[in-house]
Amino acid sequence: MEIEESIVEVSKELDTWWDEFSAMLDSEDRVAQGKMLLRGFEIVKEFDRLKAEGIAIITALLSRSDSESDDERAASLIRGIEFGAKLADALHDEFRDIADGMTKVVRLMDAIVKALNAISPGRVRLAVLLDHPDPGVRAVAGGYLIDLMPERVIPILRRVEDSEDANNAHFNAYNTLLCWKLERKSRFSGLSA
Amino acid sequence: MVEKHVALENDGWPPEAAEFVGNVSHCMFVKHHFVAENHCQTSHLAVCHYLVDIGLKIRDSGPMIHQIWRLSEPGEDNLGPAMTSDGLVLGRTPLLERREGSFVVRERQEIQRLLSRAYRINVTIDRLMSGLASVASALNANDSCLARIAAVHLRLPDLPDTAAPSMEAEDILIKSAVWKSASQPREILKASPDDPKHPGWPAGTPGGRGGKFRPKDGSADALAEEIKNRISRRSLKMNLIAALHIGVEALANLIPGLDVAADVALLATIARTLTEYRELAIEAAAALAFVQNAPYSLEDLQASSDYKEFSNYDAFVKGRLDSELLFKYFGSAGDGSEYHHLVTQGGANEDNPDIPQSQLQNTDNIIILPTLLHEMVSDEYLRPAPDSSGMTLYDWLQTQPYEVQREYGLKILRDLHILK
Repeated sequence: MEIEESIVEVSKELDTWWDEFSAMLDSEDRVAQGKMLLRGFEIVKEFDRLKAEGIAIITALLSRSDSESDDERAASLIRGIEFGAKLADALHDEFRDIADGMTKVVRLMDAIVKALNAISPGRVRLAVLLDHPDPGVRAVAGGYLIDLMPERVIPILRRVEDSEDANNAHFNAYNTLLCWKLERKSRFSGLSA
Repeated sequence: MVEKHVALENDGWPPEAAEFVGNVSHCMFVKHHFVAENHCQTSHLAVCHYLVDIGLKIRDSGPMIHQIWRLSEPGEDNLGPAMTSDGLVLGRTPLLERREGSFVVRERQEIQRLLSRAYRINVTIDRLMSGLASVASALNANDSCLARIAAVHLRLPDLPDTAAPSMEAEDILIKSAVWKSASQPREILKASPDDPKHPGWPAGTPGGRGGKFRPKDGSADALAEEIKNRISRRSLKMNLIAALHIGVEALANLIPGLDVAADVALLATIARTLTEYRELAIEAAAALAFVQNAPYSLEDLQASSDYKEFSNYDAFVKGRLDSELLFKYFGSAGDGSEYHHLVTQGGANEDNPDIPQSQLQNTDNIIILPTLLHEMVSDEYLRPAPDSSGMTLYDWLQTQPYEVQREYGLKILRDLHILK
């Protein structure tokens, strides 16, 4: 199971736990309540572990291996963006972990794109992700490419914005389009400055 | 409407009293336990207001305090006790329930919780329980007149206007199966792609929907319902994580010994911890109730439809207004709610010469949201800015014109299905 899927599972576990725990809040059975709290602690520790593991994976991708060719390195970095986009979506959509978890992942994705841009032909390699089946991945890729290929990216982001509802992919697509409309900037613009 | 009045002047009451009472509209004044039996026979019974005057207190130099107990008319805006076809309600929350065709008083613990939440004090309910039993008994005997009299004798004051949502949230908690029968095993519904009763999105469905409940009929309404549930769940989740993190640090190493030696200090710590979770449960129920009735118009969310602007936020919250507006604006946004600025205050907007404070601190820009939803909306501003400048979206938006910021503020609320 992928980490983002595990995060979804943990999120469901937390839902179930809350349903059961909230039922006990008026009880006087402190022992049962204590045990239920322990279960909650285990869930939150599992969430912390998955998040740390996800961030560690992306961080590790940034450490270049000497034996890698440029193409292998670029492919590895592109997989990092794909993974990071899904992880950021899961953290946002499942746990509302925006200020900490999602932001850390986004900053790491920024670092990946900078590294990718240093490999010829540059970040344009991310265009392969514009056809990715996951709208969250398409939205992230579009954010880094809108200034390079606006004719291709804008319709893709508009479709993501329209098809996705109240989730990270939707907000990402909208924000990228807004920033492009107002300032003609992509998510890469600040990285290259 | 009741037409019969008891003439105050006949009782020799002071002129101030007559003047005061004369300002109360739609009232029938009932002195002591006066009941106009003929009123109960009129076709206007449903809108009768029974009042029990329980005394007139006039201080030598202070304002007159005239306490009037009455039934209100039921409805969306009602804050008082009222009779409906479902029995007696306070605001919109029922105090009786039907079981096998008969009215019964809700459980003592439920009434205690509801009223304590409503009035924010520990209510002594012994008297109320017997009174409520009288109301139920009269209703079961089809004596609606007697039921109304008994209801007036409960002497329930109107709810503070901010208390009604809290009371309803408490009611939702109580009515949920889990609260009602904590000791009974509860079916945990699982979503499955192959289960027609509880259909779920298949694993790997984009948008993080895999394994979650899917609308049975796939309609837009059903989808919106599913999204609302997801939003209300998400609004709670980060707070749960934060609360559990605190618990991990404070309790996790202690609780395993609970079976062996449940010392008093540990049990007390657990009890305190539960209080915090209980507050969270109330807030979650309030958010869920709010979301279920969403989306709202902007006017619904604004503190007032009358435009007022202020020189700063303190002036909005504490400013001097005429008495009618004072009632709405003074103090906090209400129990379980917070004020939210569509165009954000603070940050660069605080000193932005193009955006005067009066443009931020006005009744058009400030709305009221349940606390958890307010936090959820605010969190969306904490994401990194779309230009990777290192700013948050909050900071980046504040570099944009007022109109852009306002449109964004409205958009987030629309996207979260809060605003139409």
